[in-house]
Amino acid sequence: MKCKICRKKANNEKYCLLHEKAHQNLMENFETWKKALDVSWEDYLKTIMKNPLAGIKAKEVAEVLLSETS
Amino acid sequence: MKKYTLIIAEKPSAAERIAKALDKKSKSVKHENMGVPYFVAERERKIVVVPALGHLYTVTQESGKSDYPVFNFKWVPRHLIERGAQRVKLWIDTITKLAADAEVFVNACDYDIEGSLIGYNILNYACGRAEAAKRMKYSTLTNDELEHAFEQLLPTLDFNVVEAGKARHEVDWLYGINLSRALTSAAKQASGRYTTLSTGRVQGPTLRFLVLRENTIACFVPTPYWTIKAQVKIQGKLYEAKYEKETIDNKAEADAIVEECKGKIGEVAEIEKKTFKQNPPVPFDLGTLQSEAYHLFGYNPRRTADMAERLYLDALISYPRTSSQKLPPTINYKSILTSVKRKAAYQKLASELLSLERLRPREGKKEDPAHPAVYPTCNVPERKLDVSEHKLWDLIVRRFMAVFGEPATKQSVKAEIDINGYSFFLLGCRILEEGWIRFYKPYVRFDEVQLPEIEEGEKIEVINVVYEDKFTKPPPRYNPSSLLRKMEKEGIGTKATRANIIQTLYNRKYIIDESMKVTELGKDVTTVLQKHASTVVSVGLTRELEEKMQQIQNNKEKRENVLAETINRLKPVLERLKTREETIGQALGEAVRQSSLQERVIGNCPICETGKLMILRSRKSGKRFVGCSNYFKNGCKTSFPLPQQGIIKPTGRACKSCGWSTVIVYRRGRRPWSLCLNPVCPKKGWRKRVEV
Repeated sequence: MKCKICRKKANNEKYCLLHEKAHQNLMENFETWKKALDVSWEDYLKTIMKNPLAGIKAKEVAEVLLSETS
Repeated sequence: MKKYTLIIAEKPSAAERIAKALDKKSKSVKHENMGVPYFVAERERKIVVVPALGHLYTVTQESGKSDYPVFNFKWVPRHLIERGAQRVKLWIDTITKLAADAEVFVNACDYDIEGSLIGYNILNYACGRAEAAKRMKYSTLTNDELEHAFEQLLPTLDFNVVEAGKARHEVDWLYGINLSRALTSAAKQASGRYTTLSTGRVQGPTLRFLVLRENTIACFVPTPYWTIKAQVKIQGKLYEAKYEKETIDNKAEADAIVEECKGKIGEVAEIEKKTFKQNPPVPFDLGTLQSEAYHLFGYNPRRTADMAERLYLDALISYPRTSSQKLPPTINYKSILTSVKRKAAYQKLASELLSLERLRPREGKKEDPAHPAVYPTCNVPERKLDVSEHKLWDLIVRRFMAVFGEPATKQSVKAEIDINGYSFFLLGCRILEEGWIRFYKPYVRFDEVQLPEIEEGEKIEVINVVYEDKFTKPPPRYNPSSLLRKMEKEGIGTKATRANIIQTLYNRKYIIDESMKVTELGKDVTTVLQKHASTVVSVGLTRELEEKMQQIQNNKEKRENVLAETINRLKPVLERLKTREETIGQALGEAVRQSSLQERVIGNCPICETGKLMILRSRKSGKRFVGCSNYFKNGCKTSFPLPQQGIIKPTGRACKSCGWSTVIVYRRGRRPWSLCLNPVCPKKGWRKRVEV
C-alpha cells in the first residue's frame, strides 16, 4: 500500500508514517477547535489549510479530508 | 652537533610562543627547513621547538578495495591519502631530521585528547621516541605559565589519554567509512551519479534530532486561544495590564470578559513587591561561550571556536576547548585583574574588584580535569584584533570580572487591578543594586519595566479592554546554538568536535539556512539509517561509546575491547545494508537527484514567471549560462551570460536593488562577489557611474 498523498510506503491503509501523524493531530485537535470556536469539520479543515502555523503535512491531509467531505 | 631538547608544539604560532618563553633572553631564533619553521631557544641547554600542523597522521584502510565492510586499518602520514596535504611530508621529514640530534623529547601540544594524540603520533612515527618522551601541561600560552610547565614536565606521555584518542579516531573511522560507503554506493546504483553521502557515529544521531523536529513542525496542527489585555491610564501614562488567565480556550468566554470590562473603572486591589537576588553568571566553558556569542553577536559555534583558538594562540585567553566552569585560585585572579586594568575600558571596574578584601568567583558545576574555565590572561593584544575577535575577547574579559561581582538585587512588582470583578495584573521589574551586572552590562539582557507609584484602593482609568486571537506555535527549529546544547545534553560528540559536525551537515547539504531546515536528502538519509541501521546510529549507543572513551582515559577500559565491540556491532548491520542496497538506493536516489539539481537552481524566471532559472552549459560552445527550465516546455528563451571562470553558486537571496536572483562567484585569488542576473540592475548602473 502506498500513501495517498506522497506515494511513499503506507503505514496503514491510507497514509505514510508522517501523514498518519498529521492526520492523528488533525483528529485530536478538532475537539479543541470545536470547543473554542464552534466550527464545523469542513470549516476547521479550511482554516487549517490557510493557517501559516500549520505544518505542510497537516495541510496536505486537511486537503484530502476536505475533498472526501465534499 | 650538541644534543638538545626537542619540543613538539601543535601549531607554528604556539611553537614560536613556547620558544620565546623558554629562551633565557626571550629571543628565540627562527629557522626553516624546506619551508618548515622551527625555533631555537637557549636555556641551561639548547631547546628546539618544532610545530605540527594539527594531525600529521590519520587512520586509513590497510589494504583492499574501496568497498565495505572494511575493518582493517592503520595509521599513516596524511599526505599519503589526502589530496592537498603534500606539505605534511615536508613537516614529517623536518621533524625526523631534528629528532636525530635530540636527546630529550617533549610533547607540548594542547593538553587535551587531540593534542596528546597529535604529539604521540609524531613522537612515535616520526621520532621513534614516544616511550621516553615527556609531557608539558599548560592552559595559557603566557611566558610565566610556559616556563613553569617546562620546569615541571610530566615524566611520561599521558598514555591513557592517547589510547582514548586513538580509540575515538579508529571507532569514528570504522563507523564513518562503512556507513558512508554503504550510502554512497546505494545512491550511485540508483541515480547513476557519484555523490558523497556521509554519516557517522555522532553525525547520524545529530541529523536525527533535526529531522525529528522538522517532522513535528510538518505535522503540527495549531489550536486557537485568546489573551486579554486592558489598557489603563495612570498619572497620564498608558500601561498594559494582562488578564489573570494567561490563555483562554474559548472565544465566547473571551468575548464575555471583554464586554463586561469595557467602560468600567478599575481599582488597585493589591500590590505585591518582591525583592530577590540574582547571582553572577558562571565562568565560560566552550559550550556556554559559543551559546552566548551566538545570542549576542550571531556567531555560529564553529566561528566562535576558531576565534577563541586564535585568541588563545595570541596568549590572550586560556585554552578554550574546556568543559570546566571552575576558576581555581592558582590562575592568580589579582594579577589578571591588574593586567586587565591597564585597558582604559576596564580600568574602573577592575580597580573596584581589586579593592575587595577577597576575590571569590562564582563557579558552575561542570569540571574538566585538564583545564580551568576560559579566562583572560595577563596579556593585552599585541596586534590589532579584528572587530569580531575584539568583541569575543571583550565578552570573555567582562564575564571574568562579572563572576567576582556581588549578586544583583532586583525588585518585581505585581499590581492587581480589579475591573468589574475581573483581575488584571500590571507587572514591573527593576534593578535595585546592580552588583555583577555593572561588569557585564553591555551583555545583560534585561528590560526594566518601571511601574508608577500607586496605592491599594486607588481608582484606575480603563481606556480599553481587548482580546487577541492567537494560535499555538510549533516548536522552533534548532539553531546552531540550541543544537550544540542539545548534543551536549544528550552526551554526544565532544566539545572539540560538535561545531565541526554541525558544519558537516551543511557541507553535505543535509541542512540549509541558519534556521537549519532539513533538506529532502537529509530526511531520506535519516529514514534509511533509521530503517536499516538503527542500532548503530542511536543516541544511546553514541552516548555509551563516549562513556567507554572516558573509561579508556581513566584506565578502566581497553581500547582493543571497544574496537572489537564496535566491529561486532557493525558487521551484521553492514551485511544487511549490502543485501538491501537496491532498496536503499531507490529511497535515496530521488533526493540525490533533487539535491544536485537544486545546486544549479538560481531562482524563479522573471520573464515567464513559472520556470526556474538554472545554471546550464551550452552543448555547442561548452560555455555556461543561465537559462529557464521552461525552454523545452513553452519556449521561454530567457538567458543570461555568466563568468566562465571560477565556481558559481546560487545565493538564494534576491538583489537588494532590483529583486532579481543573484549568484556568488568564487575565483582563485579574488574575494567572492555577488552578481545580479538583471542586465539593467540599477546597482550595476551605479557601479558604472562610480567607475566613470
